[in-house]
Amino acid sequence: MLAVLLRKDLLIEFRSREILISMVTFGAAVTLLYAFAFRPSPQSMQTFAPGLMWMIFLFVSVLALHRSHSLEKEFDAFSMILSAPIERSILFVSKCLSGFIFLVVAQVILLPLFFLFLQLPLPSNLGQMMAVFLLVDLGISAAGSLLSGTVMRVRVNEMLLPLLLFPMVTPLLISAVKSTAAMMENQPFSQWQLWFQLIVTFVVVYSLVGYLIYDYVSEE
Amino acid sequence: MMYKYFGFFLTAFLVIFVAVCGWIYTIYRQEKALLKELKSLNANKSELE
Amino acid sequence: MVGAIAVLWITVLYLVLSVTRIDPEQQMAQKIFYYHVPSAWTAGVAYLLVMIAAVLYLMKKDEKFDHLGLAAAELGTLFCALVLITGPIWAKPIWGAPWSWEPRLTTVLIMFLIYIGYFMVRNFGDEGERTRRISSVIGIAAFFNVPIIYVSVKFWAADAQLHPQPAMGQQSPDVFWTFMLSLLVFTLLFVHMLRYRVHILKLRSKVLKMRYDV
Repeated sequence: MLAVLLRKDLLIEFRSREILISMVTFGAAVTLLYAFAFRPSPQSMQTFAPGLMWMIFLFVSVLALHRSHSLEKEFDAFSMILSAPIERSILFVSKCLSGFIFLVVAQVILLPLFFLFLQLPLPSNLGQMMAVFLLVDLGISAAGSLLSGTVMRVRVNEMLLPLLLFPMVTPLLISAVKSTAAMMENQPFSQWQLWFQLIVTFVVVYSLVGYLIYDYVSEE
Repeated sequence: MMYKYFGFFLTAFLVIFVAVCGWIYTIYRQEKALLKELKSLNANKSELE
Repeated sequence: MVGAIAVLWITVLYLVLSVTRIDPEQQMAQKIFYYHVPSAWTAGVAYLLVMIAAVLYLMKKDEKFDHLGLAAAELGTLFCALVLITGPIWAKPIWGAPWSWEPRLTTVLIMFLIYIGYFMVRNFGDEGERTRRISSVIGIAAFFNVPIIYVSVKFWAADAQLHPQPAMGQQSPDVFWTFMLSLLVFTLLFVHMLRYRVHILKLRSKVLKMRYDV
């Protein structure tokens, strides 16, 4: 069942590529803005880069999350899905995973651009960086899908989603920035291990909470 | 009692005091308005009946 | 009840002003702590109550839990705002600057913002069951940030922590007992305000029903 839902979300996106195009365009535009708006020395750019990077990804993920849930509103598709005999929590998992995939694909395109335009050196352990990034993406997607599903039926939901998401995701954001900064400076894992643990905690907590509560979110 | 920084302490204390009293007062005003409406609604109802 | 609270409040003020010892560096400003910390404690209790009420509402669908949740959220935000205001008032003479981006201050501000989001959701929804359900979900998700925030404060580099970390058990009796009394006063005040607010919310709900019946 999960596979079917996931396939549906991904297929819709693959056909129109709306979400991905808007994510990548917006992300690239902001990256260019950073390159033009600040003219710092390479050292200071390196200091700010992790924070800037994650801010872009957060903004870009809001686009994906909002669009992904609002698609369900058209033609009242949501009610039709709900009438299927499945556990509602599976809906959460599918939304979370599809959001995660969109974010990862966008990152794959945006990260090289980011490193290129801002002339940043690559960290030595790329595999490690990718693993951490994947985890953070999962965290953003979990919290985001829960909140997005919740406020989708409220009036001003375009404004509410970022308003709710950003404070809630801030601990994750801080940990991600600190970890990214440490990785880019090639610090050993033991130095930033605590931040990594915090990321994992966040992902676990919000995935569980989302899974358990989504049932109540999607009632009519 | 005039020790150093007394002004700061007094400010902090007053902020808390005013906030709490202000809150209670706001709720009290709301209560009065609601009771008034309740009374008029009851009066309407008995008129209709 | 109100009388008891008023008496206790005056007692605490007297104790704070006359009995407790003066800190040599911070002098009177240190005494803000007798109000600042209990406010933080009350805010924490309030937010916990929001989550419990939210869970109960989702389970039982009884309106009174939603009233409890909203009242607790309002009070939690009020006391959190007081923490965020009295903190800088203390910090201005002691640190020189009212604010700094150190862990504890940042995370309390984040908590505050999350619950502002809770009220925005309430505001933009209609008066129906769906808004209540949605706010309950937000209330639950918001509270799960608290342990994460607590853990992150511990993890943050020890040298970045400017916020004083007094060990309560090691303080002298005059400080300790005054603090405890202040804590009690704030807790009683919170309970009283909560009950009053819930009562008003019930009244309001009744009036709204009657208004639309007629």
